[in-house]
Amino acid sequence: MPRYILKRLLMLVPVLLGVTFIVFSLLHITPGDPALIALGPNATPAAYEQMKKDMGLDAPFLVQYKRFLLGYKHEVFGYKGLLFGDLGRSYVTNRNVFEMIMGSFPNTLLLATGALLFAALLGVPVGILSAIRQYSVLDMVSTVMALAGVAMPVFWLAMVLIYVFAETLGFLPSLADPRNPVSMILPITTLGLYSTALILRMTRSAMLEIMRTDYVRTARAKGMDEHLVVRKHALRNAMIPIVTVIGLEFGALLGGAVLTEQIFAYPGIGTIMFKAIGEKDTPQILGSVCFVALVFTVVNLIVDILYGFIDPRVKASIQSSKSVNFKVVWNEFISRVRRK
Amino acid sequence: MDTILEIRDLSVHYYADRETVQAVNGLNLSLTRGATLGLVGETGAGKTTTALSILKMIQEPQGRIVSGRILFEGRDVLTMDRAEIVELRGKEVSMIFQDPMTSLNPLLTVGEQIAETVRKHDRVSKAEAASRARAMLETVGIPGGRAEDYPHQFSGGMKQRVVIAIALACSPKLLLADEPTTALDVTIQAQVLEMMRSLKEKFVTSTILITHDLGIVAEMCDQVATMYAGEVVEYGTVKDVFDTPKHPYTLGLFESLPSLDEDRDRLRPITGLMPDPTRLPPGCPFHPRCPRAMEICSRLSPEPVRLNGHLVKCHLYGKKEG
Repeated sequence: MPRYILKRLLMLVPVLLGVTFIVFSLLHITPGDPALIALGPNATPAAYEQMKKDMGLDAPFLVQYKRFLLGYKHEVFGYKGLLFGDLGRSYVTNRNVFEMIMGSFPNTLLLATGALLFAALLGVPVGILSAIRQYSVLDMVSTVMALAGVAMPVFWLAMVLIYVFAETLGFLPSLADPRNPVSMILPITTLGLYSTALILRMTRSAMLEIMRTDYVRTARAKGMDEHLVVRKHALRNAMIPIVTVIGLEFGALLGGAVLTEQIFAYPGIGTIMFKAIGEKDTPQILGSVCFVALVFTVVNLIVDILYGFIDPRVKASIQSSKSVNFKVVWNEFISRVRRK
Repeated sequence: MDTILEIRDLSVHYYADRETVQAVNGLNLSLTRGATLGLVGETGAGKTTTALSILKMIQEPQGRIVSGRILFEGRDVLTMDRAEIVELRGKEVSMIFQDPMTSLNPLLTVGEQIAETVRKHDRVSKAEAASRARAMLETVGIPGGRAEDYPHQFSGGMKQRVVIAIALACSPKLLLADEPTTALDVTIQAQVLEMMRSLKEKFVTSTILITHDLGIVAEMCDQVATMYAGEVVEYGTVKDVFDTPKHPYTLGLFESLPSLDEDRDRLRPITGLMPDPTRLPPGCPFHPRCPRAMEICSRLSPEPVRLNGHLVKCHLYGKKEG
């Protein structure tokens, strides 16, 4: 098991390199000049050239990318590089990039965890009930609700909720503050409903499939009580796709719910990214994206390890992965890239 | 002789979008305590549906038992409530399914899958149930130490032994074996059948053995019932039916087997196909394929006739003894 985790952690390196390279390239080719933004519209050409040089923006693209990874020496704009965990300071706020991220990440973690708990606690049980009472009224209602949950754009739903609960009824505040639990209800609901719908549908279809398997029939033929058939025999087998979708949702939520955070003026990582992109704050954008990619892949790793606890077949294959075979790792990486 | 199971006029239908599949139609069957009954017939003849009905395991709402009575030791299974039926399943009547590869839960150890049945029905402690599970594995020829292993660590034949161990764990009075060897290769088939036979003697279990292999019937069974389109068309002791098959369908089944005594170049299959179960022909369902069909066969469903010890449902014999 430790070897497996090590192998998977090593796989993060090429993934993160790929992500940063793509984001770096995109920033390079999109319009907007950080030097110009830093100086303002009235800068002289000489000052502009000097600023470009100071920021290191006059160097060729690949040199800039190398500096991004390995560091850049300058008394104002210098940094140690991604490999040393330092991406310097934000062009706009002049604060350390990672400190900014670490300051807002707990807020995003809180929002994401709340939304995921909401989604899982609602989606899994209703999904199970929908499956064991297929075509019942409950099943029909939950199907329609789930479709609505997936189909409604988050920003629209957020505004409707604010209009109803904050403006009209006045129950709940329209601004979210991590220190005030009541103010978290609306953003958590907004963000959670979409995940609820996904988890509900996944749970329902997984349970329906498992309830038709031969081994569930065997369990019934043994005289197992129906609740044991559902809980012990069907649900555990259905957990693998359910855990997958929950993990993916959690990773995505941790990546910052840009729209939801914006609408509720919530100080999370999505807000930071949104602002940084608007201001062409390259170090902040790169730092945030790297961080989000790292979080997403780590959550995925945790999900994969969880499979081992659910399914003995997966556990056996994890335990039999004896050494880190770089060819296998590389092939797996390539196939993942292709799949995406 | 004491009758353990009696099925009277059983009809089971499945409902698809607009069609009704008439899987079992007015089936009558009885089983003597301690005997083994072979239930033979083509795929789709309603053999498995009959067995599932005995456990009241027809999945509603797609399937429904339309009429009939299934008397197990005099009690009608079909009128039992949930609690009674759950007590019956696995304890008094248990079933072995066709495909051992998919019949075991992949996430539970085989020991647990046996032990949970024992815990449920015999209300013993966890440790007691686990040790009985190990003993049961030994009985079917698997080392007790493998109780902690998962199904994927076993071969197909071993899995079927585990399935049999589950079915016999609570010493049921009636065992329904639904093509227990069809998914296995021939050498393993022989082992499993041999084991079933010795276990049957040990546990004194009455058995219904569903198969389409007449060789297995000859080896294992005391009585045999031939099913066609959801009805029993011929029923009697294996000796009677095999020595003097009467129903044209049973005759056809024997004809289509290769013979060791006779020099035959080609097999003689029964011409035609099983009738569409959503549109069964009127009268005797076999008449469109029957080489000896008469005018009456397409009009009237034949009544069962008793012919030297066995029952035949065919107009050919109706007049002589009726």
